[in-house]
Amino acid sequence: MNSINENPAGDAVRLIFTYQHGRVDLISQQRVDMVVSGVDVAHAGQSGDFLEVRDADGAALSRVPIYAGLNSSVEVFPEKADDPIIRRRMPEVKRAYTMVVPARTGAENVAVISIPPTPPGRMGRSGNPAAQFAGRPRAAVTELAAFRLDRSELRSGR
Amino acid sequence: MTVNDGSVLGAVQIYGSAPRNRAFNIVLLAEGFTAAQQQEFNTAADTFVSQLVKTAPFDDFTAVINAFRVNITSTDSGADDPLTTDGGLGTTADTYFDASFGLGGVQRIMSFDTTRALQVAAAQVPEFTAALVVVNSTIYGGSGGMAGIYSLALGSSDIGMHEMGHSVFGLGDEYSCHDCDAKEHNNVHSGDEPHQPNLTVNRDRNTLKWGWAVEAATAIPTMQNPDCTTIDFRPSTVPAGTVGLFEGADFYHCNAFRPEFDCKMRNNGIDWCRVCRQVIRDRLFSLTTLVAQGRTPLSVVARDGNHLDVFAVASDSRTVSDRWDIPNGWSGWSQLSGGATFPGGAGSPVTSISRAADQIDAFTVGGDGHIWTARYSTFSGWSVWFQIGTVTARAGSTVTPVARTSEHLDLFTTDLDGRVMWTSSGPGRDFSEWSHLSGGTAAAGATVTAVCRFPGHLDAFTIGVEGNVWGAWWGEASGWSNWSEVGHLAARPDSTVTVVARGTTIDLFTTAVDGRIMTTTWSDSAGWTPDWFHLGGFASPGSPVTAIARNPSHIDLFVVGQDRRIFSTWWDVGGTWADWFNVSGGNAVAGSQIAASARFPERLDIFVVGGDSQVYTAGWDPANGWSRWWAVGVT
Repeated sequence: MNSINENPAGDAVRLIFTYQHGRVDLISQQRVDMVVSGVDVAHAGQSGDFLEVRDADGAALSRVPIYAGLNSSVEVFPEKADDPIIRRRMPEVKRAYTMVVPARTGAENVAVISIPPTPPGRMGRSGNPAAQFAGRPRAAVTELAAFRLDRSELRSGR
Repeated sequence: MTVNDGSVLGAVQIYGSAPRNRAFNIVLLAEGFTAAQQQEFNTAADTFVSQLVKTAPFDDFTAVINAFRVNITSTDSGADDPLTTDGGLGTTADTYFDASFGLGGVQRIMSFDTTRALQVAAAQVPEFTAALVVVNSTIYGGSGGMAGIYSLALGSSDIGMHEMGHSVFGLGDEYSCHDCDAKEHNNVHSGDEPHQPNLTVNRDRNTLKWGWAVEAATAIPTMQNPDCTTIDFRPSTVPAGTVGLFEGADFYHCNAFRPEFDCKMRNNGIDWCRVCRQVIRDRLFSLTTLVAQGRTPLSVVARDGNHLDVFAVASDSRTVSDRWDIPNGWSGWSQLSGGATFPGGAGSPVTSISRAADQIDAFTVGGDGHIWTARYSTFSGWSVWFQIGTVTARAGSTVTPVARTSEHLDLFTTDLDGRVMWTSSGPGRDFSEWSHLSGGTAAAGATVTAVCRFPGHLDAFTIGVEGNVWGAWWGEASGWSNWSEVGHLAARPDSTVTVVARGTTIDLFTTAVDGRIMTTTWSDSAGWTPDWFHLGGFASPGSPVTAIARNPSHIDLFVVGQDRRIFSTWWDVGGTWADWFNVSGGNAVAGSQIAASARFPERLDIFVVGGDSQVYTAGWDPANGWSRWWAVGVT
């Protein structure tokens, strides 16, 4: 795809997976005709949990943040408006997630990855915008799971 | 729960008419409603949606919101209520998603088969963005995750809103307690910067994520917790709605901050704060088409052959951009770091330059008349906006950037008095204070353009107050020359002198007072051509001539004609200018400008604001010629 005017609608995949005790299990993948907009694609230095779409050589094509985060905690909402919300750890709860990732030309695999936050003292503190980017380390990436995109599913219905 | 505990009846769209593949699609799933109780679920779903579309900022984006209810019967009514303490009834119910109160021994925490809920939502509405399970019980309860769940009790639906803040918009929790019931208090945050857009450990106003929303008079930090061993229960010390830095967030009492004193991400029943509203706006905005300021020049930059970034100004003065790349296509319009341009006149454009394949610099005149910049890197994304110097620009001024090298930037603009102003940055050196360039003054509405033909040399041009074209040059050793008139042309005072460098040769293009499109050329061997030459076309009043040299032997021109049609012509070394032709039947706002980019020598992409205020693009390559026009949005 070299023309900016082509519109490859439908080249996205919805994944449903579960997470518990650090283990990720893929439940299903489904081709879906919907956009994955730019605000849902992370930049290279962003921390958090992501689905990373990769080509056949393992190169990252895009990262979509798992906004809710991979965790085993549950929020407790107060019945009375003035009481605070709190969050409780419940490792016995298996969490389920769904994410839609772009899966256009060259997309072969999806990995679930985690990137730790920016270490203290690494943030830009200067009024010079260049200082925000200078000397930032590449954060370590932890791969929790990887799935092969089901190309037959991707091709069906075209 | 077993498969015999109910059945899926199907999905019904209850709100919206946006195309499903580019919409915010919310799905409400019935739980604990028997076959005879489906109307009650229908009413509950309608109530939630009517509340959602009245809630800011969703109320501004109803055109891209669809809502669906999925009717599902359950064998029994309600949900499991297994606890016999904490208000529990010790009862069970056979329901489709096996919802239950009392998770972890806490009555109001609800559990359910989340995997099944997501599977049903995906089967019924494959394009869904958010899924919420509505439980047929008046007992207060709910919980979150990728699919939230809430009961019919008063206030429970706020749980669904809060959970969407997490799962759909990436907002973090702004409260300062984690497992407090278990007496586990998190006192002082580690200092690792949270990735959520509404949480920070950064106390620097200049680099604060939401610095765009903080007034200069607001103290940073705004409120600090005097006792890090407990939650700060004091009332706010500043008026409601003040955006600043409030300590206590991300489950910590201290050293983690939120943008406002209160927000839905901190307390249920509260509206979202301004920063969270902006995050939600950005997400929904990316699904819309841009309504651009009619005459605001667009800017386009190609970091490399696989990336294009287009910058524009929305009709409400917000600075916005859209990005295209291989293989993802257009990412959708988004606001650039909360920026807004100067609202006067035609408005200041966002200009841009790419000095390296992983970097873009954007510039504009802010609402305060000062010059601002934001920087993009593929590693860090967009920075906040930073002020450059103290000059106050003329309303509607353009900031023209030129890169002498990947480490040298020169900027040109006009101040309140029309004086031509210049600043530069270099390796390890931030922008210097603006200086008046050789005493030059530009005509009202005229821009300053510049080009770097070779390292260590700059040429700058503008329309002088008498309506003539003037130029000045800069050398590393000599500094700026005096201004001298280029030929003698009675130019339209608000013209732009478009400059293109082909090696050491300069080509200038502008418009005469009667709209004629004029050109002249400089070469080191012959100097300026004897005088300006009419290229045959006429520009609509205010429309600059866009010129691009795909290679040193070829120039393409684009202009909006007096009939608002978009025209182009081209020239090859040794030949003459081609006749003007209309590009794919396109027309634009009178007086507007066409942005052009050559990602490759044999590829052109052009962008305009159409008569309907949307941004359109068309492309050219030798094999296919000109494409038709497409609205720029999200692929």
